[in-house]
Amino acid sequence: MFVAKRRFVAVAIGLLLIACTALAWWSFAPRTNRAAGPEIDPKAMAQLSRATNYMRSLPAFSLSADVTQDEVVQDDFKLQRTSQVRIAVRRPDRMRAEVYGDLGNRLFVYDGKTLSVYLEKERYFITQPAPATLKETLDAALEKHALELPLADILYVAMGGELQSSVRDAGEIGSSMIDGTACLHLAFRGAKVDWQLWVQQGTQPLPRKIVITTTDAPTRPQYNARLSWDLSSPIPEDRFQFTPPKGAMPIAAGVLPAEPARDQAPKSKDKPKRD
Amino acid sequence: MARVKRSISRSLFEVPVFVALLMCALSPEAPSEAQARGRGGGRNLARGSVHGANVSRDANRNTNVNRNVNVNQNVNVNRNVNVHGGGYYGGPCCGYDRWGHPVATAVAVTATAVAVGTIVASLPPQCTATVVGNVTYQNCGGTYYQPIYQGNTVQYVVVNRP
Repeated sequence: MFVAKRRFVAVAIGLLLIACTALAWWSFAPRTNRAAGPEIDPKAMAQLSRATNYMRSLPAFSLSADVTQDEVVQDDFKLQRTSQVRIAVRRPDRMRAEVYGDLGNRLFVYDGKTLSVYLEKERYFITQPAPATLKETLDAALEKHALELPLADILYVAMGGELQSSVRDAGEIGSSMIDGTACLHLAFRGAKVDWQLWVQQGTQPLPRKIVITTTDAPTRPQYNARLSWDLSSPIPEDRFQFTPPKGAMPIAAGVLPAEPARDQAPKSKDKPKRD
Repeated sequence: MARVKRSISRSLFEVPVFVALLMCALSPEAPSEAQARGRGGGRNLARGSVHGANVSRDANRNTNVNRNVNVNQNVNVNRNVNVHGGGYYGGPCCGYDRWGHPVATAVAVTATAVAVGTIVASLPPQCTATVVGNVTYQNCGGTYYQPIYQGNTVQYVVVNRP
């Protein structure tokens, strides 16, 4: 009896072992639903290039966008933050971007010499020297100060940047109506983001909707923007000038020190050896 | 004979238990949300651009513009306002409450000073702004905070008296 009981337990443990092995294998193994492997559909890439080239051909443009962006709280709750963005660009060195949103109203102005940011609620402003073109200014702001302008991809691509080289997988999904306009729905996968683009059909292939999914966060939060374009209204020069409002206080843009107290604490490994 | 049987059954019992426990211990945990943080200042926001993801210099890998901050290891850190617990970005560790509101910073008690280099998402009440050399500082009961704009939010770094 006793031996039989032991045997039963051994079988149960064996099954547990198999389950654990399977779990471990499943965790380590690549996702099987991607087993077919990435495939870059040349038609989707051609549509992306068409939209890119069209945006680059515009001497100036204005757009407004309704944006939602997930903020992850409590580890896995996705709060959807809402904002409205208005952008005006004149090639190659003028840009104004206004953000009205849950996380504060912001103004960004680039006049060819300086990039200024104004934070309405806090009444802080930043004015710093900027490179001679908007493209270089976008790069410098992102790399030096982790400062990302609203709808950064639109600005980046319109000013000559490209997103094609980061694409690992691309597909043309089909037609889709966005705000009453017939669009072509495209899907792309990159290293840390999956993204979707809805490009207006016809002679003005403009992006009308963008969805970006952050894939290196377990909850996969999303960014979503719907865009309306104005290619004809003239943009007065004073839109590209920034004067700090009365009482506004200057601050620095920067990257915060990461855990300074710990960085400077000696690591146990590095302790000098006693002879 | 019975003794041999018993030892076999014992090994049948013990070996799988050991291996099973080992395999379970080796199963990788899900990647932590914190691994993907570092965007949008202290907030844990979805990435807002494809290009930004490609460039992807997550905040904690960046060099610090505030290099002259003097970290005094001897200063007694007020744990209530110290945001260095599990990385300064995102989550309740980092100056935001469970619904994303900035946590009100406690005013340092006389006995405990706030360590220079401490980063908070909001200021304690009753601060006075002063501009020194084109940089704004907030004096909150003798502790000086320097506002810094990063990602898309303002955070405050405790600095020495300017």
